[in-house]
Parts: sequence; structure tokens; C-alpha cells
Amino acid sequence: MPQPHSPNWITLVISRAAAVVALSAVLGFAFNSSNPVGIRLQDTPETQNKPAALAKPPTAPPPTLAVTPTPTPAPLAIPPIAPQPSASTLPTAPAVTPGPAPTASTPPPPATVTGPSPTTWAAVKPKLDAEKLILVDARAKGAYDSGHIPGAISLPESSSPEDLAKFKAQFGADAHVVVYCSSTSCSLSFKLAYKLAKDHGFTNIQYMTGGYMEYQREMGLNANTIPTPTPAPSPAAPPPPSNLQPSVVTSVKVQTPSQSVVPPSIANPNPLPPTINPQPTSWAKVDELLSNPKTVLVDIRPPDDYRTSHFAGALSLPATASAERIAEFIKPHAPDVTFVVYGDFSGSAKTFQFARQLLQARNGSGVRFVVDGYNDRKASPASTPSK
Amino acid sequence: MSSHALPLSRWRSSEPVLRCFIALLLLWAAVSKLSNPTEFLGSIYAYELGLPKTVLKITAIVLPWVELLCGLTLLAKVWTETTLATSLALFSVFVLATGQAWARGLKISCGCFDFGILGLDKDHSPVVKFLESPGFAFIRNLVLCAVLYQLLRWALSSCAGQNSSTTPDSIPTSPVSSPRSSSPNRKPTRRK
Repeated sequence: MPQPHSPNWITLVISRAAAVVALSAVLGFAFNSSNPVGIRLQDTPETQNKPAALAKPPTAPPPTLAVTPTPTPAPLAIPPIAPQPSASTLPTAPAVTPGPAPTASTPPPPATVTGPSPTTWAAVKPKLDAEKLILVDARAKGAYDSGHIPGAISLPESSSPEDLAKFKAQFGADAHVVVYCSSTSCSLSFKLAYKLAKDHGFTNIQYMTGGYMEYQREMGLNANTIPTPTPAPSPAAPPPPSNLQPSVVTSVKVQTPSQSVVPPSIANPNPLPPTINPQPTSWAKVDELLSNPKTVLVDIRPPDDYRTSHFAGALSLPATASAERIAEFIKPHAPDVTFVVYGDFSGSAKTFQFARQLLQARNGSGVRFVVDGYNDRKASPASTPSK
Repeated sequence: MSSHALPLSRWRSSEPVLRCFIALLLLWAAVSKLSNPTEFLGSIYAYELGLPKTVLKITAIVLPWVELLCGLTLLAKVWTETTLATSLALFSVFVLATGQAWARGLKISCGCFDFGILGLDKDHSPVVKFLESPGFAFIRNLVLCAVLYQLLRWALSSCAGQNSSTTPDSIPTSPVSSPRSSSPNRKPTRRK
């Protein structure tokens, strides 16, 4: 080895560094070209960002998912907090004080599930092709520019309320909106969907759990195993309604059917396993569920918070519990018991993710999660601290 | 060793630990980026560096492998000086990128860390928000640069020490034929 700082040494170090970079480049390009979720150097429909005609909001009223207006907190007659019952004992449902009787001007809240519901790319694709929904990318603008699902609008989760209001003004609160982010480990889509539903009154909103990565994998698999379908004739883009302002959104792209239409008769021989997701629910619905003795409330907050106060009958299972602890928790309960999971804050991705973990541990059945948090329901004079 | 390195000489025993720590950090960073390349490219775009998209895409493809190879060679103690110099150059670039993002007030959140296991709520904790901010990334990269710089200096001084014991320059220039037969009052001269 030459003497450090000598010209020979410097030359040797530079040449070795160049060798490392060269080897990295070879390995990088080789890996990237074989990776279905790799980076495409050339411009693809996923990286194009050409403004196009605005998608016409669906004329037919969309099904389901009405957002229940925030109810006046009906105080729960919660009995004094009891020590955590043994695992074999089912909790008693807390007494429910009925809320204010609906008047002529206050329609009764519909008995439907509130909050956004999960969906997959397979379900979204045909509707997107038919321009029956608005696809929204919740990632930062940089991630959107690096690659997005063709036809998606960029609306980062960090957007200001004014931007979200403009989005609502453009498409209407009854538009069918599907939000996605990067992958299953990303919670931006759920958070944005929840924000749009709760703060801006969107009534038909979903979030794509697999995210952009699911789209990339599906398109990668489809490209290898399914013959290129005959492109369907491109529908004429409808003129934008007169009350919309075209200058607000510039990132909408007309869906190109040739890239995404897949005849239903061609099945994917290597289908991805379906993503298991828990159903969201609301506190109003939980009161009904708890009338069934086979419903168990699960509190995922830290043990100290649980000990300070919790709903009577709720069992503690912190979100940081290990897989073994979860299995131990599930074991004593009958298979037909429904777990209803709640956390501390509304719209918390942690609650959703833990509920999904619990659902997977129960082989895909009997788990729901409350979209609103404990803090939203705690405003009850009957809620007493634990002993 | 030169005299101005003496204050840190007592920390030299931590060199293997620091080297392994940096190596594992590089490996972890590389694996995170390789598992979701598009997300990494999006992160690069978010820094708004003003470079052509093709350059940024090539960077996103090659950089994780540079980190991976540097991590592996550091662990294996192969080409140590080269790897440390390359890693130092890499982290210097990170310092510049995060520094300019912080200075410009860019809202970049990588969402890389799950702080739920520490009991921190990502949505409401100001601590979490700072840990994910460009400011913290800048400080973190600066500290890592300092660690790498010191590791490189130690590696170079080890290399210089080995060379001085074997090169002709280390032979004393005095007319005495052997250092052992020299007078106790005469010390062999050495070229620095």
C-alpha cells in the first residue's frame, strides 16, 4: 500500500472508489430492470403529468358510505370501572343513553358504517377505466412525479384545508373518491381519506390499501402473464361543467384505456393474495354491537392510559403487543366473538394497522375498528377513573 | 501519530464499534431504499435539487448499491480507507441536500421510522415531527460525517504506521549500522 497522501495512494483510492461505483451501477441497473416495481428511466404513463379534461362527477347517486354527522355527545351511562376481567368472562355492555330524538330538520343518522373503507387495485381498475371514480394520490408531489397510477390526481395528505376545499368544490362531496399512497406500510391514504370524509363531508370515499406498489406489482405480473388486450375505443371526454374552475387542478390525466383494460375472461394465473382489512365502525354503531354479548371491546392504548380510565368491559391489548401476546389474547375467545378495537385519537393509522394485525391473527374474521378515538367519546360525566 | 490527534487517541478503542455501526447503518439504508425504489426516487424529487430527472433516476438506481457495497466492505474490513472516503463523500452530499432543504423550509417527511414502539404518536407528537424533519436529518448526517472523518483519520494513521515500519525511509540515516548498537544518547532519525 503506498504511503497515504502520496500521489500513488490518491490514485489507488480514486480507482478503487470508481470500481465500487461502477460495480454499483452494474448491479443497480441489473436489479432495476428485473424489478417489477423498479424505476423506469423513460417517461411512462406513470410519470406523465399532462393536464386533461376534467372527469365528470357521476350522475347516479353513489351507493353506501354516508358520513354520520358528528352527534351531540350522548353520555354513556358507564358503570364504575372494574378491574380487567378474566379472559374467559365476556364483558357487560355499557348502558346506552339514547341520543336526542330526531326532529323534522334533523334527519336521523343513517345506520351505516362511517369513515373510509378499504379497497384494492383490482376493484378500482375497472371503475377508473370507466371514469366512474376519482383516483387521488396522497403522497408528496415529488413521489407523484416519480411515478403514479395513470389518471390519478395529486393531492398530498399535507395539503392545506383550502386545497381540500377546492378539491371538494371541483368534484363534489358525493363523488366516488379512492385515495392511495405508496404501499401497505404507508398510512397517508387512510389519513387523507378520513380527513376528506370527516372534515369535508365526502360520503363515498375509499382508500387503496396496497398503494402504488400494488399497482406496480399487478401491472408487472399482468405484463408477463396476460396477453396485451385489444384496446377499447377511447370515450370522448365530456366538457367540464360550467360551474367548475379548470385552473384549480392541472394534474388530471385522461385515462388511456389501452393500458389498463383487461378482458374479464383472462384471469391472472398468479393472483396476489387478497389484502385482509378490518371494517371501520363508529361509536354509534359500537353501542349497537355491544348489545350482542359476543362483542369485545379492545383498548390498544398504552397500559398506563388504560389503567387511568377506559370503557367498562374493554380489555387491554396495547398496540405494541407481540404476536405471541396477541395469540394469547385471542385464544380464550370463541371464534364467533367480534373484537372492536379502539385507540386514543381519531383517524389514527395505528388503530387501523393493529386491527388488521389482529384480523390476520384471527384468520380474517371478527375484527372491527372504531374510526374515532377514545378521546372523542370520553366526554361523558359517567366516565370514572379506574380504582 | 501526529500530536494534534492525541486528544482523540483514547477513543481509538471504539474504532471497531463505530466502523460496524456505520456499516450496519449503510446496509439498513440500502435495504430500505431497494425495497421501495419508487418511494426513494420520490424522496429525491422532494428535495427539489434542480437536477435533470434522468440524473435523479440514475442516482436512485445506483446510490443504494453504493451504500450496500460500502457497508459490506466496511464490515469485512476490505479497502477500508477507500470505503470510508467514499462513505464520507456520500454523507457530505446528504448533508448538503438536507441542509438546503432545511434552509428552504421544504416540508419533507420520509416516514421512515415507526415511533409507535417508543410510545410516541406520529400524528400528534412534536418530537416525532422533529425526528422526521430535514433539520434532524441534517444534524444526523453531520454527526455521521464527523464519525466517518475520524474513522478515516485513524485508518490513515494505521496505514502510515505500517508503512513507516517497512519502507526504506524508516531506516535511520546515522552512520551507525544498527539501531541496537547505537549509543543510548543518539536516537535514530526518522523522516516524517
